[in-house]
Amino acid sequence: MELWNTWDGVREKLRDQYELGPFAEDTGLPVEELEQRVRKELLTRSAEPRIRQRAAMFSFLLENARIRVDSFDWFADHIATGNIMWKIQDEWQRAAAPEIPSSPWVERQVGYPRLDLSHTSPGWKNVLKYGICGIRDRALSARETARDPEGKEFFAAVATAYEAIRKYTLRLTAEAERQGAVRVVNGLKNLAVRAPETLQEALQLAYLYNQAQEVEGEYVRTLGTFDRLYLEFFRHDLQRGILTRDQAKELLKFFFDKFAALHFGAGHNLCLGGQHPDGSDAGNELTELVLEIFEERKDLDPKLSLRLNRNTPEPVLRHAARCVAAGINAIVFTNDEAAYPMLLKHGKRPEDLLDFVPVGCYEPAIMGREMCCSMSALVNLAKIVEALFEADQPPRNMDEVMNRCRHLLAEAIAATLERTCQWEKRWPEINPSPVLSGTMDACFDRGRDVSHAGAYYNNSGVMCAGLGTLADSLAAIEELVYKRKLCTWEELRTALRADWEGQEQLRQTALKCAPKWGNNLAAADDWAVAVATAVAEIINHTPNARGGFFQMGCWSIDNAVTFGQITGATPDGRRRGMPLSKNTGASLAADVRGVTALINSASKLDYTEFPDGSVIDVMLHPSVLRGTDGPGLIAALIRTYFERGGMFIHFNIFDAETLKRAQQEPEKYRNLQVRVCGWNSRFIDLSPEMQETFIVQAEAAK
Amino acid sequence: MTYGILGDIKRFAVHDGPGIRTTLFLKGCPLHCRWCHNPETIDAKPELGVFLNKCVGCGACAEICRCHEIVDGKHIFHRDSCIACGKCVERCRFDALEFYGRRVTVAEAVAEILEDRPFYKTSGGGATLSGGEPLLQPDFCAGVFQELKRHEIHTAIETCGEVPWGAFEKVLPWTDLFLYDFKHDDPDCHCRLTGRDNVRIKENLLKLSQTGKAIEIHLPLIPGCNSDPEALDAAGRFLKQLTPPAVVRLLPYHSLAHAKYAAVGRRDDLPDVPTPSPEMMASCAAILERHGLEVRY
Repeated sequence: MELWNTWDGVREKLRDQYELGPFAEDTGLPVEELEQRVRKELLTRSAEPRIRQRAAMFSFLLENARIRVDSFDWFADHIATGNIMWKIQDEWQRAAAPEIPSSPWVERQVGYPRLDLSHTSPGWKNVLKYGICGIRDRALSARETARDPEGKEFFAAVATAYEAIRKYTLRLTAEAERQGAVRVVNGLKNLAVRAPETLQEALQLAYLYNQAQEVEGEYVRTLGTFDRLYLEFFRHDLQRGILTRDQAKELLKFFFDKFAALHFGAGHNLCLGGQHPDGSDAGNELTELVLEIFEERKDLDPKLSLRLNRNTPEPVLRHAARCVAAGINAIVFTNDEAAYPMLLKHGKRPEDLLDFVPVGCYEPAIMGREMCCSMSALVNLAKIVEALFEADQPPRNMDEVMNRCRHLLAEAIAATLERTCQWEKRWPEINPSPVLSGTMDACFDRGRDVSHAGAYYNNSGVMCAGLGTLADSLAAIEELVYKRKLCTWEELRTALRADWEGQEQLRQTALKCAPKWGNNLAAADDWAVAVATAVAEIINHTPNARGGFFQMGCWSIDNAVTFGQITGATPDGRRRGMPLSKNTGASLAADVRGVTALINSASKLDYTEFPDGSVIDVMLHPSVLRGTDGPGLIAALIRTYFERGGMFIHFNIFDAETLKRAQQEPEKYRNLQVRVCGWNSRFIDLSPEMQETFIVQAEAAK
Repeated sequence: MTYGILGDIKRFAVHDGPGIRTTLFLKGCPLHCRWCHNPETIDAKPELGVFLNKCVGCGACAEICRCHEIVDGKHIFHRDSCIACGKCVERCRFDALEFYGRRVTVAEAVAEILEDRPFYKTSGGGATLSGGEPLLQPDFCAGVFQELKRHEIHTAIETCGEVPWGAFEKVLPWTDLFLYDFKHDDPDCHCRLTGRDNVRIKENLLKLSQTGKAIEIHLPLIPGCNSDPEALDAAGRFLKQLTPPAVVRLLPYHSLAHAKYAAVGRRDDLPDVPTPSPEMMASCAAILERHGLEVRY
């Protein structure tokens, strides 16, 4: 059998690998029976601690679910567990919900308190260093010296979970031998007894781990500092002649295709680059290799976070910029030189900075040390405008408007965060996570699961959406009511409540004449800075219920659309239901002075006050790339934004005509990628509302 | 005080010289090229652009100025009596009125340009003065550039060359790059297409070349006007005389300017020809390359 140069030939099969054929009946129990057995087992264990129940469920699934090995693949991993753990934890979570009292601010959808179980950054270093048996043995010996019963219970659960992963590995080995899957047999055998030594073993283990954590019930939201994690394996294999560079590349393509085949909407984040404490760049030969693969695969997933600093080699930045120019734009560019001061300011230790990774989309965390829970609460900043107009007495001046606004935000956010705390206190009863916890040193030191503050850092992120819409609303109030006196406070209120019905002149004035965030005009930008500062003061350094702090995030992801749908008309001329400003950017199509003005505006925010992340979306017209050094221009935009303190930036390059054609003839535009938020999607897969927002933006980018 | 009359400002301009630039379009041009896509910059005087397609007939403009009239919901503009004061533009809430011809001081222009200074540094960009013909306002150009050089900002002028040599001399010390239009080699054809022959244009170009300043030739390709092999061959023969050799950039014609002609009440003679295809661009470039010229497009 030909081992190498098969990727092109089997790519279609790799893409469909999770839909391919049935699982052989003799490999285990069907999903329905698994679920019955798991539930029965739970009943007999109802008196046991939840973490023991979870470890037992996990073991049962890994030891009894049907499995499959694809002989054309370089990795083995298929298992049919039917997401049973997720179902049961949902039930446990729902059961806990009624105990948590609501608040008017939550009911009117200004704030959304949540339990964020899924923005995880596992300890990949430990996974690769110890391997399956290593983590199991570590837990077994820690159990002997555990300080308290909770610790004992925790270590026992970790040992149980990793023993289950080991048995699953053995089951896969047997199935691989039966199927004649020669590519995977040896690696699996080795992983069942020791830590990985080759690149193939390391990647196989990474995938097994990824899968185990997701069976357990938490998404893996970063593949870690990828180029540094796998460098030693890569060098080792090349030096010993185990692999050539091309073969390593092929292995990685098979590996990445697995993540694409999962069709997880938000994609899988993979981090490259970084900066050493001495200021030098931490990239290496794998950084380039992964970028090469990214360019050749042209796929949405995994998505890249490229960590840049002033010493990032120009070819690396240009390589990534070239991808963006070619429409392969699942990349968020990340600025270490802003991120490091931000991380230090919010309590991170200097020795942890190198392991900074964007989790999910662009939510900063320390890999293997932090549960950043970046969506522990969501806040719709723009919706505070409705509350602002409820007061009987009109404000006398803009100071009073802003004071009221600040006061309302403080009240709404406090009510929301209080409820998040209530959720967090219930976490150990909902979703203890021994698989994930087993990768974290701090969980071992403390003898605590991540659900019970076992991680070294236990912060809670608060996504704040609609900064631009709120800033524009304040700027419009100032312009219409106090400066030009075109209407009174009451008249504006009436117009807003009527969704501008019969007030088209006033609405047009608000749209056209009031200054808008994102145009480098102080009259609007000052409001955005004031709002961001006020919200950061309210959120940051507020203790959560896990021994950490709440952290402000200045982003919206696609909630710019969904929050917009439930937000009434705003003074900036926006009608009820229309999208809010996205992430840290301008209101839809309001950035009329061009991309440099947008970046100039965005540079006015203090990004060290957004420890839960932030991102600016830049839309360029394709003509920008015609007859120019396109990648050079993109690189220059990134460098400029970063020199001025920006932290995360990403791009879309297309024209409205192409998007409209893609709407009409989707079959011809199957490869048209758009950067949605912190992830990419095929344009044709987006909802009509989302497609429309991109068309409006693209038309404005002319 | 030296003033400039501006038609428009474009930020993030990436086709007017190297890197990310800010381009100021100055008003007034000695030529009337048939394919001109900035008709609002031909006249040196300030003027009003009226975009009837955007007008809703609200009459806000007519309330303050008799040049505007709404008859049966339709907007009628009396251009002859308009003094281009620009007051109506602020009244219009539908972007239907544009004012071309803002008077700016050197300091104001420089401040606008400096707004994007960080981008010039990272991209190797700077400022470009274009038009119209910027060298019809040579003192303003020299004033702006002198100030920009104090800030070490790259400066470029886009010129048609149909100005007294003295205008070039005024800006020479402060200009890093000349983007020099070359439309046709033959004086008669040139006159037919642009309203003037090219004798002075060619003279100035040769003189400018002798100063050793960096020059990029901008050759707009308009099918049916100047894209025939003979014309390009003749252009190539002339341009190869330049020492040091200049890069030639081919600019494909597009006919997107109809609305602007209507807006400024100017007769629209735009050639009704398609934008040159990439293949056509390549074959035109090949003709020039045969003369040893470096061609970009």
